[in-house]
Amino acid sequence: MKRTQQAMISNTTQPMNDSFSISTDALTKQYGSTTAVNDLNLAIPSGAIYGFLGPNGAGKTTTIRMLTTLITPTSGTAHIVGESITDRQAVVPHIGYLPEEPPLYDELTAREQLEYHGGLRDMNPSEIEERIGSLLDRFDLTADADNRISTYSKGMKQKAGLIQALMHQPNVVVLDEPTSGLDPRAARTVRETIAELAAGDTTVFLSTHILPVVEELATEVGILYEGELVAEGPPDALKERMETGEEGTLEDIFLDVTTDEAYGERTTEPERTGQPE
Amino acid sequence: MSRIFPSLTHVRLIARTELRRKRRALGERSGWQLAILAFAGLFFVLPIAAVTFGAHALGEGLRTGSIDFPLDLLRAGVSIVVLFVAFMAGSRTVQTSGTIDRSAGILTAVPHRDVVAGLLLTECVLFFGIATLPTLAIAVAFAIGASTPVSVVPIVVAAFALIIAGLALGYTVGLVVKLAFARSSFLARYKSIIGMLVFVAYFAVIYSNSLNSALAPVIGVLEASPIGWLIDFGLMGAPSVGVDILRATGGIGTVMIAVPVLVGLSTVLAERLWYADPVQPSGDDGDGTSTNVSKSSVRGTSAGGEGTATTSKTSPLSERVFGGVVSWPVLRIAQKNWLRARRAPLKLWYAAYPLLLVGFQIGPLLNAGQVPKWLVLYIAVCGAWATGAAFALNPLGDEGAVLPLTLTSGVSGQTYLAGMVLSGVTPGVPITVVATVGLGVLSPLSAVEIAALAALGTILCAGASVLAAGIGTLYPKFEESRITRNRKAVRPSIVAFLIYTIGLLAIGIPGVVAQVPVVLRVLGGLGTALLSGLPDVIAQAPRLLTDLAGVIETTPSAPVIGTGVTALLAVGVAVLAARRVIQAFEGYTINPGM
Repeated sequence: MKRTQQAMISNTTQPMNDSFSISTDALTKQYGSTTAVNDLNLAIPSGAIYGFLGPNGAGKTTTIRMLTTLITPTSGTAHIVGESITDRQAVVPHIGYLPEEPPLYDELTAREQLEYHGGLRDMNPSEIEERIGSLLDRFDLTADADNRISTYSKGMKQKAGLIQALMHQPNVVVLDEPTSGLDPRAARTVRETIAELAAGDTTVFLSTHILPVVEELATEVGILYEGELVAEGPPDALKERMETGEEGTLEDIFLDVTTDEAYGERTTEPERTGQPE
Repeated sequence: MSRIFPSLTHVRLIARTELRRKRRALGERSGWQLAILAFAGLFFVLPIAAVTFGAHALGEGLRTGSIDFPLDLLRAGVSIVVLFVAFMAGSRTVQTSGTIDRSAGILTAVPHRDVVAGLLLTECVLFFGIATLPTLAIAVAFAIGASTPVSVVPIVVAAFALIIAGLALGYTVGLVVKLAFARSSFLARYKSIIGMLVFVAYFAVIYSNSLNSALAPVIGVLEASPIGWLIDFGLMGAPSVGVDILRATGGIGTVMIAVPVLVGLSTVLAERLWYADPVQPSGDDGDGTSTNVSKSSVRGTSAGGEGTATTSKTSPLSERVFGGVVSWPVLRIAQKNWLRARRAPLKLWYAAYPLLLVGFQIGPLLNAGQVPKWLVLYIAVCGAWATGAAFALNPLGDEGAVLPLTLTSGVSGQTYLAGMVLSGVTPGVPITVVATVGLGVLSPLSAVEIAALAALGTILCAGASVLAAGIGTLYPKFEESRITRNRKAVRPSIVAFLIYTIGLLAIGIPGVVAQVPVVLRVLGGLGTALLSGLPDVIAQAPRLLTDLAGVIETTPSAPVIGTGVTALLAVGVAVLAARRVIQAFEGYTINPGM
């Protein structure tokens, strides 16, 4: 499965809007004279887990907000399941989004919050009840489901936010630091859930600083630095150090490509590893 | 396929959830806050009762033919209602309802038009919830007076039409204001100051009794517009009223057209606002509170070091003024306080509370050109009170999450206290002295008395800062409280406010009574009345106050002596309070539950 996905990513050099779950073409976002994201090209097939890495301020959140239609690109295009991100109403049914700060109302209980969100997603009541029940069980949140979110710990909020992102069974799940604040058991549940989602053909766009999570799960990794994609490829291929030929961890690669020196020496094309000749 | 109209299911769901959140948030408010809300509500009871009584009299007058139909007055009335509702809705939009909580969750689930409609429905329910009972009372009173039960229906319909129109208008204008601040880096930069100016202007208009003249042109336009015609619709069932059917229809018809147009406009504005790229407030203005200091000027100022500040030509104003006078850490603490105050001035709004108490007096008195003695004295004491309360009344709690860092920075308690005092007296003393002398010139006070009052104000300012810090360390408050609908901040505790106020007044008593001995006469008279009937020894005690007033009135140097005694008291209390602050700061330990 993993190898197949890698091949699918690797065999394509030009994004084709309707054959990928997520595709971007020269996606750029500028704030005045500051370029937050520059000329970003992505092509992520269905069922892939795309690890989106980068130091703080690299442009990851801006990219995510463009993909989730929350901000408009300055130039370039992007498609989610073949729908242009400029057509918000067409895109939003396909995406489930967990921002770094889970979008929950403190005054509601988790169950009320999830019922509300299910209603907004036009799910029918029985479907909502069933999904909430199974996901609450899965994330060990059933006992606290009727307590106010204001009483929750950071990890519990994270779990509730993740359930909310998944409950309408979207085609594409965008997760920004999903394991942040979770205890080891809950973090493992999240990792297992992500793997199952991908096995079920859901595409997971995973932004995180926890590199072992990406190393374990991702079928493809993209590293963003100063708004540009500076390296991309399957984790295994990336770990074979490009310049020295030495084996290294994903952390080594991350540290290697996200420096000003490396950035200055690079051409505009990202360092692509694992592509066939 | 894109929908043009919002989904009713989503709109209802959003409104229901928002209302549920508001209800729970209200339930979480403290007893004090609820009591204040209830007390504020009482202010509406009397006007509503008056209007209800007026409606009954109007109905009766129309039935019996004893009064002429006051069409212009009623049209002006509905115009005022629309303006009031629009103002309330607009200010709510700017403060809360124009922004979506946790926007990423909802905007990636439903179209923004559903959210706009949902929020508007929420506002409608809230406004109707407040207005329904008074509207019914007024309509029923009129119908009883006019003996036309059917009148209730058009009056209620017209009233709700007015509310909906005002709400849609206010929401739209509120979004325009929010969008302007979201898109303009200039407005974003001066947001707090602009907000403060609007607030001050609002109170200035209210206190100067010029609200009517300020609104007259707008009311005139509204009276003549179809909004004014709604009164024709409302009185369709009333006796002896020549209702213009065309105008009545036109009034309702205009609302039915205008509201969807305004909602559509709100939807467009909301989309631009909620998906707007955030603007960055343009550069710092270097007004002397900036923390960006030239490297050359910070030599010898390591953390906790007590080296004296040196300055260069490029140093901020505060460094040029205080450079070489106070140590760097002291200046740093003061600069930090000024910077925070400039960025969030509303947080310090409480320092102006005493002024609000006399706000209605100031305008007419200034217009008359004669300022009473008591007002000058009040302003001198108020200035001192605000000087201490603004920066020093919650020194530990005000540090917030930075407190552990401050405590472990190596700064001594003495330095910390000096920083607090400098923060307050730098703006406080000049403002107090200028206000006291300015008003004193317009009062019957002599030059010596004005000088004594200015001195009293200055002494109290310095004493108040230290006293406030002492009380603030005894009764610190770390929890945030709501200062506006959408903003919370850490403010001093109520207990600290009370003790500080009593303490400051106690210090100021000799100076105050020496300036205005009539205070003693009033207290003496009050005491005599209260204690009458008790044994003579007790009942006659208040006479001492009256006698003392007589002595003061016949002693020309009394103001100077009184100010001197206050100065001595201020020094004594300040020494005690300073000891307390230094001990509290240097020995403070953070409780795990804080």
